[in-house]
Amino acid sequence: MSLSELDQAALGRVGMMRQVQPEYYVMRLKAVAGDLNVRQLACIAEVAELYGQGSVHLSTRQGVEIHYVHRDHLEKAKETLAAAGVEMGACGPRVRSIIACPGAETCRWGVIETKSLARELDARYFKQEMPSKFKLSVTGCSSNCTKANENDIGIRGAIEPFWEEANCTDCGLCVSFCPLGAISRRHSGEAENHGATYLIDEEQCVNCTVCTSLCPSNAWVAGRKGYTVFIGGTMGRNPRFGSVLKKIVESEEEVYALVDASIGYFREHGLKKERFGHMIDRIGLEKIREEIVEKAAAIHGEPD
Amino acid sequence: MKKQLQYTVNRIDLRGVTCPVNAVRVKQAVVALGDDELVEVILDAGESLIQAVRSINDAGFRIISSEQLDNAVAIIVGKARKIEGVG
Ligand code: SF4
Ligand code: SF4
Ligand code: SF4
Repeated sequence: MSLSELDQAALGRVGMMRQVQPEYYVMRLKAVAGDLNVRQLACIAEVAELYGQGSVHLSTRQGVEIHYVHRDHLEKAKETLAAAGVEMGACGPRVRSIIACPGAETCRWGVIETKSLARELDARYFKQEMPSKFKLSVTGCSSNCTKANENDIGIRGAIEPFWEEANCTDCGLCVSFCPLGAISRRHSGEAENHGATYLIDEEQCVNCTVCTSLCPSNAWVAGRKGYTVFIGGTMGRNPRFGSVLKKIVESEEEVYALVDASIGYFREHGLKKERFGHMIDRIGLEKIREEIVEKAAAIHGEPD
Repeated sequence: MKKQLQYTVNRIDLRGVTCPVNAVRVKQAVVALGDDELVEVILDAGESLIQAVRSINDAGFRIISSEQLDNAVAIIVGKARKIEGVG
């Protein structure tokens, strides 16, 4: 590496990227789960005005970027931002800013608390060195607003619906509103429930919250709820959807164990510049899934 | 056993009407109902239905029955959550 390349790599580590325009840089800022408070926003505005061109760019990963910062001003700008609690983002082969949808805190479809999970993932993994860029996303339900399966690791809130026979009035609506057509009515001939039983085709069900939210009689309830973990998603030049690592993981600690084991596996087996998903395709999903789940069980201290 | 409906049923066809207008129209129709009246609402299947059912539940109205049509769903809605002798 030449001196200037080394310089670039060092700047990249702290979220600064050289622009097309010589001497000018993009400052990529971190906003875990896309959250910034007004004080931070005011400070970002001030820095963009003082050291940039008076505007910011919003990235697809919920980040804010200040463009056109002259290299002589980078240090000062960074200090000013840090004083308001605005941290730099990440570039290059490491764990990038963690994105998340609003989740159960404010969204009525939400199953999990996405923001606190994203903050914990940030504390544990942000900027860790990896074989290539590594993106994590947390999304509150199967609506998948923050696209769990387009990230190297995606965590998606999930429920397993359970039919409370006694509450069901046999209105038939769930058969129509299930977005996947996974619910069917079977005539059972028993009088208590108007002779009907409602069944879910587990192969088709995506564990969303539509039936549990919309049944007018609360006859669909969340039997189990938790986190479905996806691995190996990536967009970019060679896109690949994430694969399910484990469905409806019920404890947050187990989620971290699965993330630890996945990251560990990628560090050990990933080639330089190879994305996690492409490594999975090279080695084989079944084998990797088995090893990661086993490793996670050891970390988590539970036989799987 | 389902009891016989003793209600007058009005009908509004909201196929092609999207959210939030469909939900508003349903609410207007239900609010205008007399105690012995129900309204049959026809909604496009999919997202329209999901949004409309959500608003109907939120408003505390009662969905009594439904029927699947081609790419649409007909639902019978009443004013209060509980109507004696129905559903
Ligand atoms: S993914 Fe679900 S919880 Fe998150 S914002 Fe979208 S609908 Fe709400
Ligand atoms: S929507 Fe609820 S009450 Fe109606 S048939 Fe389905 S489970 Fe039963
Ligand atoms: S969870 Fe979603 S996909 Fe599964 S049965 Fe309920 S509405 Fe359908």
